[in-house]
Amino acid sequence: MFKYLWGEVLKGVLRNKCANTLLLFICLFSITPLFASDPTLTQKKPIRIGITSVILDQKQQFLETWKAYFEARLNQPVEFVQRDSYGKITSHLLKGELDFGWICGYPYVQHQSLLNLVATPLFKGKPLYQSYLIVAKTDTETHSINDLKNTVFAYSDPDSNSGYLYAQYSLRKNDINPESFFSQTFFTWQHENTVEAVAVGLAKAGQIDSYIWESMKQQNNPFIKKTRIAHKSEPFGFPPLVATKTISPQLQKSIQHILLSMRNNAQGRRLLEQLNIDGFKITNKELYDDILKMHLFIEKQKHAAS
Amino acid sequence: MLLRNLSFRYKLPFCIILASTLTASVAIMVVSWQYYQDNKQALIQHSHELGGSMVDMLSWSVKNNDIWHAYTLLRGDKKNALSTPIRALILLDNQKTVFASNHPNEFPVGATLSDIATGPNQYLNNALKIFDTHKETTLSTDKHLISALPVTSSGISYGSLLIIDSYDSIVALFKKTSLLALFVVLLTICALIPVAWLWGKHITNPLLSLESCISKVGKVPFDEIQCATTYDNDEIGQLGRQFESMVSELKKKSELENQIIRADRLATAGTLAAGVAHEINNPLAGMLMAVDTYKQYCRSEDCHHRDQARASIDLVERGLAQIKETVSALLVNVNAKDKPLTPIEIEDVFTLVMPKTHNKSITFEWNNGIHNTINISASPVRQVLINLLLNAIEATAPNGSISSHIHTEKNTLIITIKNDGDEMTAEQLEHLFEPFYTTKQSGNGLGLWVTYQIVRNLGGSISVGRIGTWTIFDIILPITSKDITE
Repeated sequence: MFKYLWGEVLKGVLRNKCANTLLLFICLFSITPLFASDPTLTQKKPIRIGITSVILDQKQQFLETWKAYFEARLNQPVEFVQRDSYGKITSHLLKGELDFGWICGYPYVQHQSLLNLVATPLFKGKPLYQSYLIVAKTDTETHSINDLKNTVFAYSDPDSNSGYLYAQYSLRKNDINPESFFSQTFFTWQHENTVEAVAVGLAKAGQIDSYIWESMKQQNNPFIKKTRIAHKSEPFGFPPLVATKTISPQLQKSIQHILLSMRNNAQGRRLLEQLNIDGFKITNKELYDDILKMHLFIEKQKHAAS
Repeated sequence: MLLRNLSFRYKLPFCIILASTLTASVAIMVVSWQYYQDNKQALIQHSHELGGSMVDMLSWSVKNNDIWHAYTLLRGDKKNALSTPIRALILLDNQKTVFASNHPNEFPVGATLSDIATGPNQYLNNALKIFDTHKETTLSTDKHLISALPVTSSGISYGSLLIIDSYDSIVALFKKTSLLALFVVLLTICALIPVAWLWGKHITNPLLSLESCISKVGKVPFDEIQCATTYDNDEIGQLGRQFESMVSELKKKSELENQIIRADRLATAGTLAAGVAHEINNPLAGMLMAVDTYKQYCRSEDCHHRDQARASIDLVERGLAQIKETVSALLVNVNAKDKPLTPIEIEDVFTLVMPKTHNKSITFEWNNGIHNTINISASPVRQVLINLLLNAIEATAPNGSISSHIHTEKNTLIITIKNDGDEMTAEQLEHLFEPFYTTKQSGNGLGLWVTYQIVRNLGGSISVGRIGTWTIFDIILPITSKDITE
């Protein structure tokens, strides 16, 4: 059962790292009346957590556990809001329709004045991850994105650092226009889909989140076996859990406390293990400066071109 | 040919199984072929339904340049992604290039239809013919069924969807179904074998029993032919009853023949009686003279001429002995008993027949080569011998000659009767052994027929021929190993 949950959760996380992270963090904050003994719990306003749809579609049981975990500690109901892209989650956060969201570093740096950093997951002991350029295992000639001229390329999500921004930046810093460099590009909307697109030959290559790729590999995902990493980026800040500026500092602190203390109890460790992360850490916005720089570089180029 | 010589015991089950197998095979072929055609039709229908259901979504994909969306639509279940799809789905844009497919390695994004219609996919060149029709079209090649559906939305064309089905799947299904049907049929036939075997046995058992009965005809007396089987009302039962009826008739005929033979024997005795009477009369005259002589010599109790008296008595004694011998020979002929043939009984025949030859002054050559008892029924042999000798005497002119030779050779008794009478005509020879056929005014025409029946009953043969002036009857009778009760 434990193994199943772990696998299921991990698979969900892999689909969209930022959204997954958001979802899981939001879970941590959630308290619903389902498992609470306090009858007043149902009368309180639920904490709304934005996540990507994929996770909730397939990981309902895991999320119920997380809800129970957080609701028991917050004495407040939790509500998950599922959407199918980073963009929609970010949009809901900005409109105040969500309290928390697990988003990618790229939308965070674009809207950091409107969002608070709550916590950052620790992957392999650090709050960092990379962007991988992946190709089919049979492709032994590609070693960088520059080798992919006139090919079909798969991006994960236009609001993803590792699945879009970094690829754009890699080309543009070499004065290559990504719009004309590839013969075809498309978005798969989830990192896991990018792996499939490359594995089945729909795209020659794709750019994805290292955390997703490594976790899929750990799961012996069949698509991963058909791909290889052609290039790894420098490390970036791991997708954070963010909160809107409108939530109370007390609630944010409570959430931070619960997240940071997860490593200290068995249930929390089990949930962390299922997420394939080591824990959470409070980080500052400077962790995402590299992503911000890439964003600004591209914006500048686009502006210059227009 | 082999089947013709085979017993019904095996032929019947074999034919049942063969007929069942052939019927089942034809049924399987017809049903399977219909199944194949239905599947093919269902495949075409399904292709169009599937394509039709996806057209709107695919239009959206092309319109929004969302390759992934199109791919996931074409791919279906994610679990199918890594396996080669049975049905290839290729979405082509208006430039006839692949926008997405469910088998990207074979039909890659951006490739033109001409690019992919090579190697094993050459059949796709046919698709070019139906590509521009802008309506649902289906084309069948040797191994593939290609359907082309226009991808349009709100009257705007976004490309075409090619749906390629391989007949392999239908053929595989066809084979699987046929094999399953064949397996079921084989099982049924296996179950049918013991049933057919028992049925064959049920049908052939009365036949075999009947055949066993029929085979006894001519080998054993009719009384011993007992068919114990009870007969049904079917053809075999009717045949059995007819056979029993026939045996019954044959039995009656046989009894009638025996009666005729018996009557013939008595008639022969009558024929012989005159000669026998003469044989008796002759010694009687001598004996009367002897009695007179005795009286002369022995008028009183005192016999003066004892020697002459004694001679007279001896004469009487010899005469009585001769009478006894003659009467005995005749009585044996009348009171037939089944006993082995002795040399004396053959000599009796000579005794009985010999007087008849005297009437016509016929020279009678008698040669009896039998010196021991022979294991052959005496009465019928005597009857045969007498009949043939009387027939020879009848056929012989006065002062003619007849001859009789009797001897054994190996395990047979051979009787040869010759006469030098007139030669028989071809017509006489042809009808010689038929009943009531006679050339004589006094005869009843049964003598030679009876002779023939007796010889046949004894398992022997009779033949008639002519050598020189002699008409010759040859009889060969087997000496049986069976004990003949005396």
